[in-house]
Amino acid sequence: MAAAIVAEGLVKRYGSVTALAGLSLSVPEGTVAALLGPDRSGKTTAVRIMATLLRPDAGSCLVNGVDVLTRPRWARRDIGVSGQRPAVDGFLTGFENLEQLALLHRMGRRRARSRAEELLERFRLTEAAHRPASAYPAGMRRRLDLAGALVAAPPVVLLDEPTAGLDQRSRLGIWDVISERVRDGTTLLLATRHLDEADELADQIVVLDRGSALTRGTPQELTRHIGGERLQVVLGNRAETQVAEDILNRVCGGQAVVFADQHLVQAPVVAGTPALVELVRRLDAAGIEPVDIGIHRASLDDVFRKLTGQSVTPTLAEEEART
Amino acid sequence: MSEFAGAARDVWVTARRGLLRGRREPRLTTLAVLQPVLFMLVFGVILGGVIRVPGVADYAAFLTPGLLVQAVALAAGLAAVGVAQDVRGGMVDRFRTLPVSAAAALFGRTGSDLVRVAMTAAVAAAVGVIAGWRVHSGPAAAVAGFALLLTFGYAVTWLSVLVGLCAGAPRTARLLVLACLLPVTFVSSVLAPPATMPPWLRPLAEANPVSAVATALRLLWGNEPGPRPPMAYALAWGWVVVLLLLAVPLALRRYRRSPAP
Repeated sequence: MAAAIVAEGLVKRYGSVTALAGLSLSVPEGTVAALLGPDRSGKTTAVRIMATLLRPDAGSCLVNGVDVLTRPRWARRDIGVSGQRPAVDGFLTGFENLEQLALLHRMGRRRARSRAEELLERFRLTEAAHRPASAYPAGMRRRLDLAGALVAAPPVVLLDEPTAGLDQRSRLGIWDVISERVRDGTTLLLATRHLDEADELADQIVVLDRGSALTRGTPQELTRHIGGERLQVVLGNRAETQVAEDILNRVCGGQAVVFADQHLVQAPVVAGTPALVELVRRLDAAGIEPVDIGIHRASLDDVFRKLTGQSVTPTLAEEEART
Repeated sequence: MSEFAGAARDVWVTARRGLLRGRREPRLTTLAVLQPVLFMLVFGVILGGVIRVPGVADYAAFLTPGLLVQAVALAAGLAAVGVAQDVRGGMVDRFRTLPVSAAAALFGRTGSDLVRVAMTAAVAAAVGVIAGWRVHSGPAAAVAGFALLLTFGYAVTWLSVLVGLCAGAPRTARLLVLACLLPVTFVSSVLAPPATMPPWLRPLAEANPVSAVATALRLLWGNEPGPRPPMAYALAWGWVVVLLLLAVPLALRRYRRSPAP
């Protein structure tokens, strides 16, 4: 399979700060690659270079066989980009936003209109088509932005944190939109700091740390490496932790760990949801009322702790814990 | 579509965007248009009765060309705010990922800004007429004067676009523009001839492009020009050309490279 994106040895420095320290990457045609990393790990810089928005200090990058550094205007025909903030003209309607982009892609007037209508339909925006985009809620703005990136039906699409600032429901909606697009055979590069997002959407994950690849592999490989889901119970008193440990061991097949001072017991699990149901049943049968119970999914912070022995910046770790 | 026709349409599509924005988010335009009305009210009507400038018989006639230049400069300066908003909101990046040239994008944008500048000039002139200002030298000179005025405004628009691309935040852009334009337009011949100013301020006011354009307008329209300085028209047009030659390539370069994040 031919590679749609080939980046080699990308380096970008801002003064004394090294944003990218020799990143290489190859994305096969029609697949999805995720650049996974915390803030300031170089994701955005990498995407901006591939999108012809930024010139690297060293390295090369071909998108769909076109060198983005020497022939940026040519390369732009094959690239759709959606940045961290939705690039939407608030004073234009959804329809006008897309029509304008289509016209700037040199489509004829009639073609531009029908393309705009087509995309509004596809991104479930038809009802809001003639309202100013400034009145759109965040999830709709993001959908309009994604539609904008696809106006020219580009074979390669670059997405930088496509769900930044969205609530969980809108995130799931955007994931659907993205995976539907991918089924069309588009090659997709996704920069994200959410492991679940990369896990859900990507065929290949590259974990970035301080401008270079820390590790790379399929989501399955990465999950196997860092462990997937864990069941976790917080109990009302310390005495119950013993009973809960036994139950958790039986439900999850051993390996339960007790954090006595936090009244917390957790265990790795393969199929989280059925195990959780079983856990609730057994706790109930034992007469234990947990303070908190749930499935804990591995986060980017877990990946980093595992790979580097260090946590990501505390603020990010907190944010990851919240989502 | 030929390359030229395509580029021409890109300019039109970007200009249309600016015009729609002006119509649907009229705050910037309203601000630009109100400013000369307010200034004319303060300096022409409220203070006009007490202002006696040596060598100037009719203060409204002297003041109006000056206020026109100032109004046009400030209206053009607001372009920086819109550009900075587009940088911040990601629109500039979106446009830069389209197969649209920097020149087409920025000429379209400045074209629509010129409409706001022209509207401001029209309102300022109308206010001037109410205050008693007239063009005394015939239609050709009137047209020549407005051509100079608007070309000057267009040059300031390009400077503002450059500021907007470099500023980083819309608020910074607004502050930068006001911090530059307010002193430059006040330390000039807008309100009074530089000859009446303290000696340390006079050279600044005389060397000012705003003064050069205001003086040329007064000469063209016969509005209390005072003694005619040498090469007045050449100086005014010279400033306009120099500003354009400076701002256009710098703004294009800044746009092609990454604008401030």
